[in-house]
Amino acid sequence: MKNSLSLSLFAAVSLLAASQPLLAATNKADTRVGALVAALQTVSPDPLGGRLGLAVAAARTPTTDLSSPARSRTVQNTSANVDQRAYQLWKNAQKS
Amino acid sequence: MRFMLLATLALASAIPVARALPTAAQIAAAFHELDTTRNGALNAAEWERASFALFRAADKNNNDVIDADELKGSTIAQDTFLRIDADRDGRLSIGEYMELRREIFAVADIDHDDYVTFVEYELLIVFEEVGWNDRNQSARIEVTELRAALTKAFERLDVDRDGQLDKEEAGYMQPERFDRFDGIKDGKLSLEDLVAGYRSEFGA
Repeated sequence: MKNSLSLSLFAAVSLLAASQPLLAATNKADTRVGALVAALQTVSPDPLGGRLGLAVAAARTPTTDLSSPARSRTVQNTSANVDQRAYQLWKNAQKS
Repeated sequence: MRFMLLATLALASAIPVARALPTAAQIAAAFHELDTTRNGALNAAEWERASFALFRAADKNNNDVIDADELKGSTIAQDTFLRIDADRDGRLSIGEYMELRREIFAVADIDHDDYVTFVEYELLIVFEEVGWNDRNQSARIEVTELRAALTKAFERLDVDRDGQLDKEEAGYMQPERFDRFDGIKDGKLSLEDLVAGYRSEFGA
């Protein structure tokens, strides 16, 4: 019983020790991202580009191909999926 | 009296207030954070990484979409949000967000070399504040369009309305650039100095 308790305690301490570099790496990544976001928000608080983003969005011309609306939708969805995948990869990289 | 004070405050908060332009040091610090390869120019990958970080910061509940509530606090983004919410679901997906961010990168890349250099980034920050008119509908800031946007910036920066900018008024600009643009070395920049200076940065 005493041996089993010691073994469990030893395993818990080992696990905790092993997770420290991982936690430290996560904190370091978070700190880097935090510094990046803080610096960017100082010069440009609007993540959508302020008046420039508004001008760009207003000037955007419709790209829908009327001859093939289904194809146009497919292209847009594919592009959005690629972004979604890239974003998830980036988020995972911040965690590891 | 108290009612009048509250009414004045409410009115003041409803009027959009022009934000002071960031300082040269702040712009340099932001560029330094973006430029992970330290080569003095931002590529699409560096821009994408920063865009992801900004999206994550705006997505406060971490559900991979930005909704209208999460954009509160921005003075301008509500309009932009409505325009870029392509599927009109009241939420901004990473795809919609990245489309605009890539367009902004292309707009900032004035010389069309697929990199945003420091001078292009400096202008991007200024034009985010004062706006830009895409006269030829090219979805790019052209060297020929600089005058109109710089005129708006100049009017905003010329606090004492003497028709010239001193170093303090042009505080967003790197001092070395100011000295380069100040041809007659009188410590002042006219609108012509500003336009000619930036045009020369792009070889025009």
